[in-house]
Formats: sequence, C-alpha cells, structure tokens
Amino acid sequence: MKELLKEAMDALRKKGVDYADARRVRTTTELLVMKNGEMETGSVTESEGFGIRVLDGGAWGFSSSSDMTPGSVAEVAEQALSIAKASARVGDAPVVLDGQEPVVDVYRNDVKEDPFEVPLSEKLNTLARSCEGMSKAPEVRFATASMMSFRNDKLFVSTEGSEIEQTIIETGGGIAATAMEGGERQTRSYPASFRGDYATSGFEFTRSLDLPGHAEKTGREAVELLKADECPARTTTLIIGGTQLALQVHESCGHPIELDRVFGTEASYAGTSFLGVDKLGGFRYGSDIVNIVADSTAPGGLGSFGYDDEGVPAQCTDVVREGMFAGYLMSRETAPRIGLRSNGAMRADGWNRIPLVRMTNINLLPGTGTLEDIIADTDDGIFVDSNKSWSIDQQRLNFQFGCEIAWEIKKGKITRMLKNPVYTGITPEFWGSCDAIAGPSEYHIWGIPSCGKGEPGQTAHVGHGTAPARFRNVEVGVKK
Amino acid sequence: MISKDELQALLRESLKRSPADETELVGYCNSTSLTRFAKSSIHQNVHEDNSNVFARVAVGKRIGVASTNRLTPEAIAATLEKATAFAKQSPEVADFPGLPAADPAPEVEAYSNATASMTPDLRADAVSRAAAIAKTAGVTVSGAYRAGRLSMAVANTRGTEQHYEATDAYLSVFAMDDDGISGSAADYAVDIGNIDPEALARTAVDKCKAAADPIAVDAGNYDVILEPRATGEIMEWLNFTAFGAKAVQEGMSFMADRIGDKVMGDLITIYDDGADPEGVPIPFDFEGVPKRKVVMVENGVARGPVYDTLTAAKDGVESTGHGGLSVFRGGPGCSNMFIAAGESEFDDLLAAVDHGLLVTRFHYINGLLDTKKALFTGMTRDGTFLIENGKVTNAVKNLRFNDSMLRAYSNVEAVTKKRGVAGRNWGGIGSITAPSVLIRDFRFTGTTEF
Repeated sequence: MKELLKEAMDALRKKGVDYADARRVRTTTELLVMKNGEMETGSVTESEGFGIRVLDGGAWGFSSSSDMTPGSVAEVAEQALSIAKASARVGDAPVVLDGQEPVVDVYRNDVKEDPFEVPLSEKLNTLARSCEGMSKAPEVRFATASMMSFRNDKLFVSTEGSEIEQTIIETGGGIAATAMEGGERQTRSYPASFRGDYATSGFEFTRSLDLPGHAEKTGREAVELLKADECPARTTTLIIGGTQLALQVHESCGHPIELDRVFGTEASYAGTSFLGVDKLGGFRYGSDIVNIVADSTAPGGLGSFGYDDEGVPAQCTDVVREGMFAGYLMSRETAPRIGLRSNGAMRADGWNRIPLVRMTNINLLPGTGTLEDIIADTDDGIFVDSNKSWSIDQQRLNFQFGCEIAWEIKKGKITRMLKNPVYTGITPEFWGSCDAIAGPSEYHIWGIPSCGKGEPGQTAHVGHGTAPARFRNVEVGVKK
Repeated sequence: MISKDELQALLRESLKRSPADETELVGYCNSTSLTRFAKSSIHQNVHEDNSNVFARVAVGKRIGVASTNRLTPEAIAATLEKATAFAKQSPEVADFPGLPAADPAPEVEAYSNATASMTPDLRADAVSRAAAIAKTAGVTVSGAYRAGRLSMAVANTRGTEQHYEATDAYLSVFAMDDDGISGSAADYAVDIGNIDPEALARTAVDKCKAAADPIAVDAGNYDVILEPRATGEIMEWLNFTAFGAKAVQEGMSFMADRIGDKVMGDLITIYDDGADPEGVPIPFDFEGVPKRKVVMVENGVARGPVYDTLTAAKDGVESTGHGGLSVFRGGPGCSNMFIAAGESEFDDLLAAVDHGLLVTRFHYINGLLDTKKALFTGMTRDGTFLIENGKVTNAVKNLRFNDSMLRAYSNVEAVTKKRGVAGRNWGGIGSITAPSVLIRDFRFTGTTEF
C-alpha cells in the first residue's frame, strides 16, 4: 500500500499540484460494556482505508475509499484533484502552507501489555466484579462497567517526501452506579463520568484504574446522593476536582484556541472563538497562576502522538503563560496567517476524514500544595467534581456545567454532601478568579475519547492535565 | 458502490458460514460528498466511499458483535468468528428473545437521482451563488452542503432480508458580518432539487442584517417563539433522553412511570413515522424490523416509547422497528420524527406576544441536568430578537435558558401550520420535522457578551 500511495504522490506532483498527502489508516476498537452483570455491548470494530488530500490552485480537495486496489488509489487521487479544482472556483484566499522539513520515521507509543492480547475472560471478570461491588448497595439499580481499547496503525506520505508510520494504542475504562428511590435518580462514577479515563498506553493503564477496588464506594456514594441536600444557589468560592476541571479546560480553553475556529471555518456549526488574533500576547485570559500548555509529547496523554496528520512533530507550546493568552493550536495552513509555523495539531478521525485543528493534551500546569490544603484554606465554599452536563456559547464565553457531586466547605472542612450542583460563568472572568491550583502530587492527565468537531463529524481523543483548583465568586446553582 | 443484488448475495452466503446459533448481518454502504465553506470561500471539500458489515451473533442467549469494512466473504467470515468468540465468553442477556423473524417492510420512496449524481462543480456553483447574495449585502457566508447515498441491507438466520436505498442532502447557510453578528438557515431533503441555496442564503443574510446592533436584555422569563430548528434541536435531545424504551425502562425518561399522564400542552403531539415522505422515509430498523408509526406524546399525554426487540421483550410487547446499530447498543430511538402541525400562521404567533423573544435556533443544548424532569440548558444563536406588541423590534444579545421541557411544552399556546425539516445533528440518515411554537413564560437564566 505504501508504494501505491507514493506512486499517487508522484503522479500528483507531476501534475503540478501545490501539495498532496495520503494517509492509510487501520483502526481496531474493542468496546465492552457490562450492566448489572449482563453484556450491554461486546464488540470489535475494524475499519481500514485511505484518504488523499490535494492542494491545487490554492484550494483543497479530499477523497477517500476503503477499496485499496491500485485502480482505486489512482481514481481517488484523481477525484481529490478534481474536487480541489472545484474548490478553487469559489473564494479569493488561496491556501499557503508553512515550511516543514520532510520526515521519515516510525513511531510507536510505549505499551507494556497489548490490550488486544489480554484474554477477554479476564476483562469480563474485571467488569463483572465491578458490577457486583457497586450493586452491594440495594438502591443501586444500574451498575455499569466499561472498557475500551483502540489500536491505530497509520501511514502518512506526502509530495514533500515525508514517510511516517505510527502505531498508537490506547486503553481505559470506568464504572458508574445509578441509584434510584422515590422517583429520584442519581449517578456516581469512577474515575470519571462518561465511561472513565483513557491514556495512550497498554492494558497496564486499565489495570491501574482498579475498577473493582473502587466499585463499592462508587455505589455507596450514588446512594448517599439520593439523600443529600440540594446544592444551594449562591455566589461563592468554588473548588473544582481534577476530572471536572479537565472538561472546564476542554470547553473554555481547548476549543477557543483552535486557530481554524478563530478564522471562522467552524462558524456555521460549532462556532467561532472569543480569542481573536488581536488578543494573542496581550489578553489576560486568567490570573497570574494560570499556565496552560498544548503538549502532544506528554507520556500517556490521550492526545499524545509522534506526528500529527500533516506530518508535523509532536511538541509542547504555551497557550496561557502567567495568565496571559500566549498561543493557539495550529495547522500548516492556519499558522502562517499569523506569521507562525504549525505546532502539530492537525488530526483526522480515521482514513475517511480530513485532518482538522484539534486538541492534543491541553494541560493546566500544577501549582503547589494539595487539595486538602486548598480545602483547609477555604472558609466558605463548594467543592464539585465529575461532570454531569455541559454547555457553552459558540464563542466559548458563557458556560454552564453540572456535576455529579458536591461537598459544602465551612471553615476549612467538608461539612456535608450536596447533590445536583451547577455552576456558570464567563470564561476570562472565571479563569481570572483562580487563586489556587494544587501541586504535582494531585496532577493527572485525564483522557477524553469523545471530543466532537467538524462536518462530517469527527471524534478526537484528547487529554487534559489538571490538579484541583479554586475559583472565587462563582455563580453556583441556577437563578430563579 | 456494491449493487443491491451483490450486497444481499454476500450477506446471504456469509450467513451460511456463521458458526453461531443465530446471526444477523447489516450491510451499510455509503457514498457521501460534502463541501464546507467559510467567509465565502470553500475550505473543505471531501468525498468518502465506505462499506461496513456489522455482525451480531447469538450463542444461546450470549451475544457478540463485530464489524469490518472489508466486503469480502473471507473478511466477513473472520468477523463472524470474532463475534462468536466474544459471544461464547460473554454472560447471558436474560431477556434476549432471539433475532426477529422475517417481516417484509413496505417499499418507500427515498431516492433521488439528482442527489446521487451531485458533483463538486454543482456544489461549488451553489456556494458561489450564495456568496454573491452575501456580497451584495456586505456580509459573508459559511456553511456545509452535503449529498449522500446509502444502500443498507439486513439479513438474519431467521429469514429476514431487507434492503433500502436512499439519498439525503443538507445545506446550511450561515451569514456573518464584520462584527461577528450572524444569521442562518438550513434545509434537509431526500431530493437535493428541493433545497434552494439562494433562498437559504437570502434568509440567512436577512437574519444577519436584522440581528445587527443587538441590545442586551436581562435574563428572566419571557414569552418565546421557537422557530422550527430550535424546536427540532430540543426534540433531538428528547429522543436521546426520553423517547426510547431503554430510557423509560431505566428510569431516565420523563415518561418513566408517567405513561398516560398529561406531560405537555394540548397542542403538542410528537410521533415517529418511517413512512412519512415529509421527512426522510426509512422502512425498517437495524434489526430488519419494519417501522411502525409511534405516537410518543398525543395532545400532551405521554403515550409510550419506541422499541427494539430486546426492550420489547422486557415489556412483553412487539418491537416498533426502532432498533439501533448493534455495535453501539444505545437502545432504540426515533429516526423520522415529527411534531404535529398546528393551525396558526407565523404572524399569528407574533401577534400574540406583547413582550417576548424570537429564537432562530439554539447552540449546545444539554439535556442531562435532570432527565426525569427533562431539564435542559442551552444558548440561543444566529438571530435572537425582541418582540414588542406583536412586532419584532430589536436584535438582542444571546441568552442561556434553563427550563424543564415538560413545563415549557405545557405552556405552548400556538403551533404553526408550516413545518421545517432538519437533519439530525448527531449523524446518520433521519430527520426531525417541526413547526414554530409559541411558549409562554420560558425561562432564560443567563446572558453572554454578543
């Protein structure tokens, strides 16, 4: 296949295209979901094909097929070229790519235990024990345990001479207990909501989660939530746990720093961004202690790789430095428009999708101390964690998050559990109110395998390093 | 794309080689082209040909699922082996009733040669015309223009053999001025010839111009007119959280323990009808069961959910033909959904509002706050307007709502005769056909800066 794709690149080069690249991708996904000890889903899906992207006359064309025969490769290349020519008919802003050195390399992420070699019986046993643990509390009506494993084999070639092979293996899982009583329903999950936590890693990561070991507590907390008091609506100090803070970073920082979005290419669908290019370097995004990086080199991060889908090496760049907005996620097309080079953030969801500017690992760097220290230092506030609902406007300013659980803090101590917490804010005001971030001992890169963007829809696997943090004067609850 | 006969023969022969007790194969072949444009330039223009075979097997009551996108007898045989190996090790699904027996579905008309033969040049022409309309008005347009073709077959070892061929097309046009003020319009149809790019561009541009210089209004309760897309977006979330039998059986849906209760206003009837050509007709589900018309809410009364075979077996009823793809097992859901038309003209709705808001569409709705109360949040976008004394007087900055959709749709006072058709945001063929509605006392709780 590599030779066929290289031949296609040669043919396109001879036709005088500005640029072309081709990707062959083979994806294997194993999804295991057990509910109350019964299989809800047990599946292995495989998808394989190739896509060719052509830049001609300053405009893009892309075509793809699962038919990997020589005739099909030539046909798809021709089709991509003819689509590019159609694109060139509309618009007056020809695409110019930044300069990148061609790369010939092979990359594999660090894997100690191939998840596809682990016996299915062992995985199912882990899920079954997790369900049993959660179900010890009789009010737990639904005990759900899940695991996912992914393998991506990618080949990238370009008219510039790049030839990159990558194999990326990802694993993870999670549990969720839903307790019901008197018409009320509460869910508690571990280690994060919506199927858990994921990493670029072998099965050793899934083992490290120890899902059965956390099952009983998770079930118990779901039941306690039924009896907990409603989280009151008020403006107060808010401490956010790592898993919820990961989604806060995702929605209010990760998406608005996508430079294609800033330039309006997602305007009609996902929206634009309040972080216009006039704000780069001179806009206060957060308080002095807020430092955020885009780091696709972070070991184990779900947004880590060797090269992005334009062949640009993984790297770590500043997004927010001491509170000031410092940089975007960029592609070879968008970066030159602000006088920069790509920082390697173009990622495609499989062979049949064109790469878009996507998050890698968008990490809020740790501060000092522990969560315990922050709570002890808080006179009056609310501590929330584990996402339940999310919503943010199309410029990424007004957000509202609901969480699974909260605890009231009085005079430096947790006093009671609260249910149905919701908080809202405006992004720069919110991050400007951040006055404490816990230190490296609390820092973890949370893996989110479900970031959506683009038309047709694409799902990206991204990471967010966070440690619990404190924010002042946050509106908690919903105004009556 | 592989022909209907070839696809069905491939599935038929593959079934014979399955080592499992029962086997279901779904062949899903699509050829899809999409042109995306922004600021009046085409920035993404893509084509995809793909074919998948999804295998679901049963060994006794143990289920396994696997899929491949290699359409060869060998690849499908290997996929069946994997699914069977999964099934053999999996715990039993106690309520599994066996695969559905053969029940031929009626023919539906859901194919358009014009959609199937859409070219990149024709899409570029349409974008060019939309861009010209925008330029005259001093704004730019963005959006997506998609044309797709689908061939889907379901076959199982109990004799089910179904096939469906369809096309669908979608065009969204979003107009934006230099200040980031926007207006939008969209349409979805089987036949791309029924989508008028210039008319959509004019609507989007007019909305954008009208939305200029928005004033800030306070959060609070307002009478509100939701245009069809805004209503459709709410219905899409209700489909996810409430209208499937799994959501009801697991106590997630607002219908759980409330079937037969009055949950919305008299004017609200919500149903799914796979045969109705006003949306996108779909004759059977991913289990090969013919789709029945299901009324979920009738004149405000909760009537019940849509079913697949597993949820139907749990409740001791027949599947309504709303099963999802086996690899996802999210439970049954609607695919061609409708809110019944009312008797009002749009101007009647306007005339009935002394002080309220007109909402073109919503952004980023989330319906997971409290699914039993159907408590939703979301933002307005692309044209939100103040209505005073029956007339639209000003654009307003966008607002956030937090409200129970049961409360809101209990307060519906008028529904238009005219409905709009929207594709589903979450992919896959299917549509939501909705009217504009006038809701009294809708609850907005926050504001934003634009």
